[in-house]
Amino acid sequence: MPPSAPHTLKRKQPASTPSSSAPNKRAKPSHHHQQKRRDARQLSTQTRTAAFHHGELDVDKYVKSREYEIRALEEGLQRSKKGLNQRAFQLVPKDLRRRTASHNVKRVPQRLQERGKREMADDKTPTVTARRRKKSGPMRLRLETVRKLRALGSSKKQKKEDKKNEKNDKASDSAAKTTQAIPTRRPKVKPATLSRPSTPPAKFRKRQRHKSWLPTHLFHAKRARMTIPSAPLWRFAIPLSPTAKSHRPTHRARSERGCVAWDMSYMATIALEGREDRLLWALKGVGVEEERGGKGGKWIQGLRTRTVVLKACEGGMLAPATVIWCAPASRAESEKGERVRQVWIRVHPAAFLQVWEEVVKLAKTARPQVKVEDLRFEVGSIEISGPGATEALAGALWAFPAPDSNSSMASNSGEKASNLTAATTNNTRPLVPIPTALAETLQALAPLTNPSLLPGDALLAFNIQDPRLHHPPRRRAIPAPTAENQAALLNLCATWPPDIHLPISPPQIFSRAARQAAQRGLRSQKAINRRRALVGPGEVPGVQAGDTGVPVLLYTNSPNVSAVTSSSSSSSSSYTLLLPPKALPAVWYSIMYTPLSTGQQPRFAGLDELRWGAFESGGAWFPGDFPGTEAGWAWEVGVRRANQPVKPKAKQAKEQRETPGCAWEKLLQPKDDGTPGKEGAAPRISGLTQVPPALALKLFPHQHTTTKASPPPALPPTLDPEKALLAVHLTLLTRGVPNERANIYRLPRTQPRRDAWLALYAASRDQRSSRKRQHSNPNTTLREAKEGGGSELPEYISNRRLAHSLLHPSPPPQAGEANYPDCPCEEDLIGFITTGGFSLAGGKGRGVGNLVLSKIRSADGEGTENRESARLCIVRNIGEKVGRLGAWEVVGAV
Amino acid sequence: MVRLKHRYLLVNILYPDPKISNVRVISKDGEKTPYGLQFRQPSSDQLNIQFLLRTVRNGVAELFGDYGSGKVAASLQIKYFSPATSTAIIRVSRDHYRLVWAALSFCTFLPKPVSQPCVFQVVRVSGTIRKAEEEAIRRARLSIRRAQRAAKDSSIPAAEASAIAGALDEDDEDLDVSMVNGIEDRDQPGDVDEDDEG
Repeated sequence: MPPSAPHTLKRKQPASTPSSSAPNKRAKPSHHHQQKRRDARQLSTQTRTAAFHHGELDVDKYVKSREYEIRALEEGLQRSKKGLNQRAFQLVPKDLRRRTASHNVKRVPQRLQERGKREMADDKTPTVTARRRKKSGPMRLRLETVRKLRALGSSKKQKKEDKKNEKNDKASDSAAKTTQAIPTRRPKVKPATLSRPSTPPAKFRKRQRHKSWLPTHLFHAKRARMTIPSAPLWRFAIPLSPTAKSHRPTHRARSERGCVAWDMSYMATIALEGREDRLLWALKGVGVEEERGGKGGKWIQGLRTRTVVLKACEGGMLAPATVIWCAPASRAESEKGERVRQVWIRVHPAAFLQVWEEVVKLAKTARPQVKVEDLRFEVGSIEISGPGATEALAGALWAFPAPDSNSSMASNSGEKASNLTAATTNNTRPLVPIPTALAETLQALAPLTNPSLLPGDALLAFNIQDPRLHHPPRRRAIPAPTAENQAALLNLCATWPPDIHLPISPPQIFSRAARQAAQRGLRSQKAINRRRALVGPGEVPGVQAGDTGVPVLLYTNSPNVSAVTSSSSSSSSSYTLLLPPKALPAVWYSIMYTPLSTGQQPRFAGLDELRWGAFESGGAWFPGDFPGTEAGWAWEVGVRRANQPVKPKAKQAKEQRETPGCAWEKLLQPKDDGTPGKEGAAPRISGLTQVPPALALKLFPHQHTTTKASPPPALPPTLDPEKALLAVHLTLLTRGVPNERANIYRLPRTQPRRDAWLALYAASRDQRSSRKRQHSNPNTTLREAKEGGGSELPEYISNRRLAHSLLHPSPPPQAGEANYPDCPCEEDLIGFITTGGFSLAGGKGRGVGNLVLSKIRSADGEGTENRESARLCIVRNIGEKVGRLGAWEVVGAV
Repeated sequence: MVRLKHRYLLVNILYPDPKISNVRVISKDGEKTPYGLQFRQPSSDQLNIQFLLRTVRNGVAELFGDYGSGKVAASLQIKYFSPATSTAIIRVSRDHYRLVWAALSFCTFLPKPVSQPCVFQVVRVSGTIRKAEEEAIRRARLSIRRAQRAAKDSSIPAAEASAIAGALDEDDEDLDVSMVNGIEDRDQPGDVDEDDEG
C-alpha cells in the first residue's frame, strides 16, 4: 500500500510540527483511529515466491493462490466496515441521540464515556469551558484578593457567632431541661377548597411558578417535545410528542403489538364523601343517572368504574368523566343508603373548574352535607394501551404481601425470586385457576392481549411493592398458549373472581392516610441500592418489616363505540393505573423498561398521540373535538392564537386570510359580519352547546348497526338546535385527506348541482364494489358480462365490449376535470373538521368534525331511502377549491 | 460540500509471451497444463506497487504530457496489488480515469528490472472500491473453476481442450452485471463514493 494521501481533517495533528520530521518529545500525537482505519483498509497479498515455491506453477498452486486472494478480499470487505470512523456519541441508540452538546462525554451513556474521552483527546477537542479555565493575569490577582477577603469575612463571622452561642447557652441551659417533644398537629383538610401543588424542590421551583410538572417530567423533558414554558396546557407542562419519529410506531404499538404508556397525572380527581344516597343525588345533579342491578349495582358496590358525560344543571355537556366508588367495608345490603361512602370523579383538567363548581354547589345544598375534596395533586395516573399492556403491567407491578400473611412474607418473596430465575427455562407454569388475591388476578391475566376481553370497566385495587426493588424488570414467565391455558384465561375473564370469591375491602388508595403513609414510606434510592447489593447480583431483595406498600387502583377503559371501525383491532381498550404521585416515577420507569414477550419495550407518547389514537379508533378527543363545550371552546381559542399568521393581513395570500381557527361565528351567527373576533379575543357564542354523544347516537343511529328504526327522541328544551354542535367522524369516499379546520358542506340544494354530487357518489360506490369484486374473483365479472350481453349480440361484439369494460371502466370524474362537481357555497356550510388526516387504520382520509344540529336535521327530513345520502357531506380544505365527498357518522362515545 | 469522486479500475496483468516467463509451468503425470495458467501467470517479484505506480505515471505523462500527469497525480493510487495473481485495483479521480485507462492500454512492455511484455486488461470500472473487490472475488472464483475443469478435461481429450480453455478466456460465462465495455456505471451525477480520504 502506498503512503496514504495527506489528511486535511482539522486538529488531527499540529500543522507546524509534522511528526515525521520533528519528533515531539512532550506528547506524541496518537493517531488511534487513523491507524485503525488504515489497518482496516489494508489488504494482505502474496508474493510470487511465497505462492509458487521454486517458481513452479501447476493447477493446484494456481488455485491456491486465487483462494488466498479471495480470502484476503473478503476479509478486507468485512474489516472495512469496522474501519468506518464512528464516534462514541454516534453509537448511542436512536432515541437517546441528542443534538446539543452531543460531543459532551458526560452526556453519553456510561459504557461509551471511556471511548468518548479517548476520542476527544485524540481530536484535541476543547473540553474546558470558559468558566472553569485557569485564570491568568489581572483576573488571577483579582480572584486571589477576593479569596483572601472572603476568608477574612468568614473568620469574623465565626467569631461573632461563637460569642452569640455562648450567650445563648447560658440562657437556655435551664429552659432546655423542661422542654419535651411537642406532638405535631395533623394537618386539617379544608373541604371544598382548591388544593395547591406541593412545593417543588428549590432547584426546580422557579420553573414551576405558573405551572406544575408531571411526576415524570424529567423523563419526558429529555425525550419529548413539551409545551412551551410560556404557554403551559391546563397549568401543566405536558409532553406533546416524543422527539424521535414515532407516528407510525406508536400506532403499530397501540393496535398490533407492543404497548404505549402516557403519564396522565394531569387528569383531575374530585372526591366526594358522604351518605350514599346523598352522593347519588349529587351525582345525578351532574348528569350521572343512578342504575341499580347488573352493571349499575356493581358500579355502586365499587366493583366497576363508569365513564359518563357530565352535564351542567342547564343541560349542556360539561366533560366526559370516570366515576369510581370506593368499595364498602362489607357487602351487606342492610344499611344501604345510610353508610358513609366515598366516590371519585375523574375529569379532564380543561373542564375541572367547571365540574368543581357544579359539584361544590350541589354538595353544599345536600343535607346532610357532602364533603368535597380536590385530589388533583394527590392522585397520579398512568394510561397504558395496546396488546402488550397487560403483560407490561403484570411485569412491572409486584403485589405487596398482605399484612396478615406476614409469616409467609419472606418465603413468598423468595419463591418469586426463584420464579424469576426459572422464568427462562420453565415457561409452561400452569395458570393459577382461581386467584386468591386481587394482585394475583393481574398476574394470571398477563397473557391477555386485548383488555376489552375483561368485563367492561373492571377494576382492581391492591398494594404493590416499591418497583425499584425489582429493577431492572425482567421478563416473567408467561404460560404457553396451550388449549388448557387459553381456556383457563377465558374462564377467568368470564367469571371475574374479584366479583365473587375475593374478599372486598375498601381500596387503600381512597384513604388519605394510606396514600401519605405510602409516599412517606418510600425508601431512598440509596437504601434500595444497599438492599440490592446485600442480596447479591441477580437476586431480588424481599419486602422487609417496616416497608409500606403503595396503594394502586387499576381499571380498564371500555373501548370506544366506534363509528367507522366496527370490527377493527385498533379499538382495543386501555388501562388506567391510579397511584400516589410520589410513587409514580418508580412505577413509570419500571413499566418503561419491562421487556415484552414480543421483543420490545413499552413506548411512551404525548398528547398528540393520545389525540391521534382517539381519532384512529373512531372516537373523539376531549376537549379538542368538542368545541361546543366550554373547555372545547377554550381549546379552539388556543388553536386560533397558535395559528395566527405572522404576516399582516394585506400581505397574506387570499387563502391565508381565512380565519386561523374554525369560523364558528360565521356559521352560528350569520347576522354578524362574519369576521371572528380580534386576535386572541374570541368570546364564546352565547347559547353554544354540545350534544352529548349518547343523545347524538339516539338521534342518528349508526348505519351498520341496523337497529330497528325507533322515532328519534325529543330534544331537551335547553338544547337550541341552531347552536348545538354534534361531533361526527367522517370518512372520505373518494380521494383526498381532510385537514384540520376544513369546511364541511351538505349536498347542495339546487337540483343540477345536487345531482352531480349524487352521480359522483354512485360512480364512486360502483367503482369500489367492482374493484372489490375484481379482487375477489375476476372470473365472475367475465361470466356475468358474457351471460348478460351474449344472448342477442354476436360473440365478437360482446367480447369486445367485455374487454373494453375490463380495460376502461368509466371512472368517476377526478378532481380538476371539467365534469367534477363544484364545491357548494357558504349557505350549505354545516360544520368544520377539528381533527383530520390520513388514517393509518383505515388507509384513507378521515376526520373528526362538528356539525350544527339544525342544519343536518333539516337535511335528514327526507325519505328513508335517502337516509344514506343524508349522511353525505362535502369537505373542502382551507385554501383549496376542490370539494371531496365524504360520509359521516356520529361519535357515540368519548 | 463538494465531494471528491473516484473511479476504481480493476486490472489484470497478462503475460502473452511464453518464452519470457516468471515461473516454470510443470504438469503432473502427463497432464497438460491449461494454456490459461500460463497466460495469467504471477508477476515477477520486482513488480511491486511502487513500480506499477511509476509505470502508470510514466504512461500518462508519455501520452498526455504534463497536463495529463498533473491531472492524475493528486488522486492516482494503487489500492491493491497481488503479484501472485497479477491483479490490481487502481484509484483515480472520476474526471480523469480515462487518461489512466488509456495509459494502461498502451503499456505493452514492463520496463527494466522486470523487462517483460505484458497486457494490462481493465476488467471493471466502478465507483466504489467495494464493488471492485467483489468483482475481483467473482473473477477469482470463476478462474478457479475454469482451471479445475480444464485440468480434468485435459487428461482425456488432450490438446484441443486446453486450447479451448485458453482461448475462451474468462469472459461472460455467468456475467450478470449489466456493464458496457467493463464500465458498470457510467459517469452520472449523484454517484456515491465510499472512500474520500484524499
